[in-house]
Amino acid sequence: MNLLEEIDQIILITKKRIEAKENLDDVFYSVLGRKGELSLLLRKISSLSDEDKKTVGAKANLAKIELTQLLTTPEIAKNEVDGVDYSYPASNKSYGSIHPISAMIKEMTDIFRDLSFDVALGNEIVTEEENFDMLNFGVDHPARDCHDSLTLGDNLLLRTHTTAVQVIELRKRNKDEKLPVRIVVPGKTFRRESDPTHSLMFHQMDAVLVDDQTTLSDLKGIFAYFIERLFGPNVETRFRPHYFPFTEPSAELDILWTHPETGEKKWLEVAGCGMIHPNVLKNAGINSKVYQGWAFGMSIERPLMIRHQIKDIRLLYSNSLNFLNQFNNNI
Amino acid sequence: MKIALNWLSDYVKTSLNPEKLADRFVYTSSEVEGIIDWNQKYTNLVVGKVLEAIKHPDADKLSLTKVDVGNGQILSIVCGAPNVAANQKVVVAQVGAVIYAKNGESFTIKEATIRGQKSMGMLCSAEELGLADKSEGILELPESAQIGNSFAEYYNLNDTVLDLEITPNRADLMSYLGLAREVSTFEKKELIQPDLAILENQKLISNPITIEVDDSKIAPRFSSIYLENYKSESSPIWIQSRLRLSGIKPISLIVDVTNYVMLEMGQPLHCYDYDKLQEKEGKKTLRVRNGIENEKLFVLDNTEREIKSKDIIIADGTGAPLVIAGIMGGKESAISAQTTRIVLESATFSGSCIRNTSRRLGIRTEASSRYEKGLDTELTVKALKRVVYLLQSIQPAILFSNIHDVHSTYKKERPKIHLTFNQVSQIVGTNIPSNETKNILTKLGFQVNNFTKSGFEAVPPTWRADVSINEDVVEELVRIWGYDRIPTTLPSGKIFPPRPNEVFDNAFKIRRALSAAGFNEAVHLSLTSTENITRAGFKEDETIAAEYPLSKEMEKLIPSHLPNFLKNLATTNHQFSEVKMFEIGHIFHSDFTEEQVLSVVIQTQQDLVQVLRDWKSDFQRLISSLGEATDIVYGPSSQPNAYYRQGSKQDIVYQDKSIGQIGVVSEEILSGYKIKGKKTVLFAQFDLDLIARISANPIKYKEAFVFPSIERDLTIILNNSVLCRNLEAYLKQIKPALLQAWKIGSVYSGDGIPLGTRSVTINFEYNGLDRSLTDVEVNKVHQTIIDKLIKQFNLTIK
Repeated sequence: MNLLEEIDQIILITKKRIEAKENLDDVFYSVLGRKGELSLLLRKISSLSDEDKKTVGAKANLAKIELTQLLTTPEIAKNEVDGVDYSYPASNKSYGSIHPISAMIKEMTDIFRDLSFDVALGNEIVTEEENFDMLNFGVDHPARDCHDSLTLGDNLLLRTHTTAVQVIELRKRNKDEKLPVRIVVPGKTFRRESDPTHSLMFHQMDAVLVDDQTTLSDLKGIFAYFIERLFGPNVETRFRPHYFPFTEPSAELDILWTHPETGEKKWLEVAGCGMIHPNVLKNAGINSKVYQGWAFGMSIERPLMIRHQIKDIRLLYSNSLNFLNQFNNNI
Repeated sequence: MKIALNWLSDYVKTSLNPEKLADRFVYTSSEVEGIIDWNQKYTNLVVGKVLEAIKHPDADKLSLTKVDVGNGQILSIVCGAPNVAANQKVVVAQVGAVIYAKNGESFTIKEATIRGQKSMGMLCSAEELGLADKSEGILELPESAQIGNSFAEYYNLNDTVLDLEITPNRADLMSYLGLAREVSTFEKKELIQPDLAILENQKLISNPITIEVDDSKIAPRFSSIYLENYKSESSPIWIQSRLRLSGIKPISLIVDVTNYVMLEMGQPLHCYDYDKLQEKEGKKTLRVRNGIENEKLFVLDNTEREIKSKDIIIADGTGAPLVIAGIMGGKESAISAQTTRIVLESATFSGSCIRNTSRRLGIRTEASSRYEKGLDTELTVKALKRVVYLLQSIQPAILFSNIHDVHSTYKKERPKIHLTFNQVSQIVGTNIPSNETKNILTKLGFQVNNFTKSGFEAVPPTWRADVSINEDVVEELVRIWGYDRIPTTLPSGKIFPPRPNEVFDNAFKIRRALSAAGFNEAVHLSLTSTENITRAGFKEDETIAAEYPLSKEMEKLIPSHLPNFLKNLATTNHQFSEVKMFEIGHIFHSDFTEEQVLSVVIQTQQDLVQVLRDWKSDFQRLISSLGEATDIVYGPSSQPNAYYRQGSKQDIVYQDKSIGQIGVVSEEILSGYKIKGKKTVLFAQFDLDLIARISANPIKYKEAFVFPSIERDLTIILNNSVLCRNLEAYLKQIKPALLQAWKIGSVYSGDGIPLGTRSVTINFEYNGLDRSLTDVEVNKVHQTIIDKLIKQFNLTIK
């Protein structure tokens, strides 16, 4: 038997002994120990011709590596007794996702529903009257310039704020004798601007409450409740005066946002609000001597961008799967 | 509105530092967009004296200078300006100074070696200091400039500026005095009025100008004064610097003074060169009238503007337009360096007219932004007297005329607003103490009358045309008293359970069902390009166009979600071969109606039949999630669509009513979008209102079979001309008593199956309901079905 066959023989016998569940340490000693079969064989190589040294040496070394592995990894061998590798990673199954804007709308409306607010929706194409005049925007008043609108001709435009639904909905509820009213109006809105912080199309939600007695102090209370539910208990808020034609007194609401990484604090405007202007109630057919109300309107994208640290609003409408798949926690 | 705090202190002495003051503004009246410290802007810039200036040994155009910058410090500076000379007073940018280059970028001065000579700074030009758009050589300061003085201090630019956002209802806050009044109110400090010329005690020349106002509605008040002996020069540095700090470029004495008074009081003024006004019948006239269609005027921004009938025009005696009132003056009558005789206009114009014209022409000026908010008519004469006061202190030689003041019914009745303390607390939710109430309103300029325990009468000042009802007065009170002092409460009114909104609620159930089935929800812009819409097979006249689109990419309202989806598949997500997306939103029809739809897109390279069957399963699951177990039926649709492959469109029917369609997007459309690589695109659209009406009926429990069922599988080779639909209809028709259900399982065509046929496996479930069945019994029924199927469809059994 030449040395090459001898090596094959050693491998074969060793494997049989392993299969027969002989003690692995004993097998190791008798094959790879100082006086083991393979060790003795290796020693013989030095006396071979140069050519044989190469072929036999290479084969013997491979055999040594293989057998050493077989005989020195008893842990794995023991665990794989049922032949299954349980350590494979998760497969790349793809899941769907709800768009973060929809998820934010759901989250916000749910908070208000807990406070007995209904959801009302409306058309996105509205008349100048619905978007401006009914909301006490004077004809040719510069307040209209704050809403650079996309007009469609025929006195129609894409609504610049969800507040456009307010008079329509209030009028309907008043007619159906469904006062007092608590509604939230989420939806798409459009303005003629586009940059990293402004999109031509964006989303808003209005919250409106009309009752025979409700005050600015209620508005502050609801807002505080809402912010705590949305951002957690330790977010500072502030009210500062502002101007909207459809509310009087009017205010803007800011939150003090702490950047989660840099710790930098910054006041961020999240909503405009105020007591509904008596003219608006009048336009809805509601007796402003008996009823008063408040409303606030906020951006859906703003809190979303804050929460997820999204810097360019336009990403939200890119619909790249790489973007959308990051929000699969929304299901 | 940018306000420099040193200037503001002329009218109110505040004890607050800039940050605190800004904070008070935010909490009581105006948002602060920025606090700009000009000292920091001009750090390391000092007044120096050139001691010597000699030619650079190795450069023709450079000089070596020694400059005294005070404190015994003498700097060697290499200077490239041709006008540098010994004994000049100059502005020295020392090492560390920041210089603003023309392109808006800045650079910091460093120690440098220029052609072998050390240079420890730079001598600055007016341009490099931001004092001029363009300048030649370095800026020479007068001999009186003090060596070592900081440049900012020397130039009165050592100030802090607040940039305030003024809301459109507050014309009065577009002025230093208006803002000072706010400070005087929230700080409880005295408001100091600026000095006015007392013309009554002066010797005046006669006013040679006749004023004619066609319609007092467009110009409720028009006041003017005439002056002569004026000599054109630069205004004093303190005026220039105050203008600069407030964001206005200094031009010449008369222009600067009128701008100064506009910033101070809020009243825009306009200057005419008297000698350039045309005479008619020996008279010079300024006539205020409406524009005449197609009239033209060459204005100060060097463009010819067309005038419309709604514009307000100031014309001369011959009728030729001179000025587009409140917006921009004409070049013809403008003052120049040679002007010595000037007519000053101080007028009130209709705010809505000015806004209209300003928008139409696309010109927004300091004047128009004040006029459009509606100005106080009481300002016009005061502003002229202030101009006279300032000019007299600078050029005592100027002679002034009396003021012509044309007005008829400008004085509006000021509203008397009766307010009770009860009403205040009913709006605010808490009481504002009565003494605070009186103080706040008085400080703001209101007349407070009949003040009693229960209430008072408030008359707003002339500059507060925005205050007319109770709520307006309450806002004044509560903003100064402090929004932050309002307690937080929850509404105490009646509570009703929120009413469901079927469309909104079901839309969310759909979102959950589809996302759980692996679909990603998309939200696309509702506007897209015309090209994108026609590429998807829609006609241009099927869409609504924006009148003034922001760009060609966003000019049409979407008639369907399909164009956006196809563009998305072709561009944004082109690297994915398997895509499942959906969108819920409004689509728009050319008659200006809109429709809420659910759209689904599936792009795949897998077997179409399998993908479609998976979709049917997902959609059935979606319908179940709305609370209804009725089967959804698909049938060929007779209505063609431009974008579906011929014959692929299927109506999706729920309870005999079509709720949507699905089909395969045609190859022509896909190739128009360059969607390649054997990709198939399925598109479905549903009427969301119809799906929303699927009501959530409670599921009624059905008894399970008491006795075991026996199942039989049958694999048949079916001709392709026989559809699954036919097979199912036939089984339904012949259904024998014991057969409870059947399911069509795997379908296969290809190797081993004859061309034009496919193998279909059907699973049959037999149950006797009230007894156990025997194999023999089942075999008999099963065989009958097989025989009938063979006979009906001419098929073979595998």
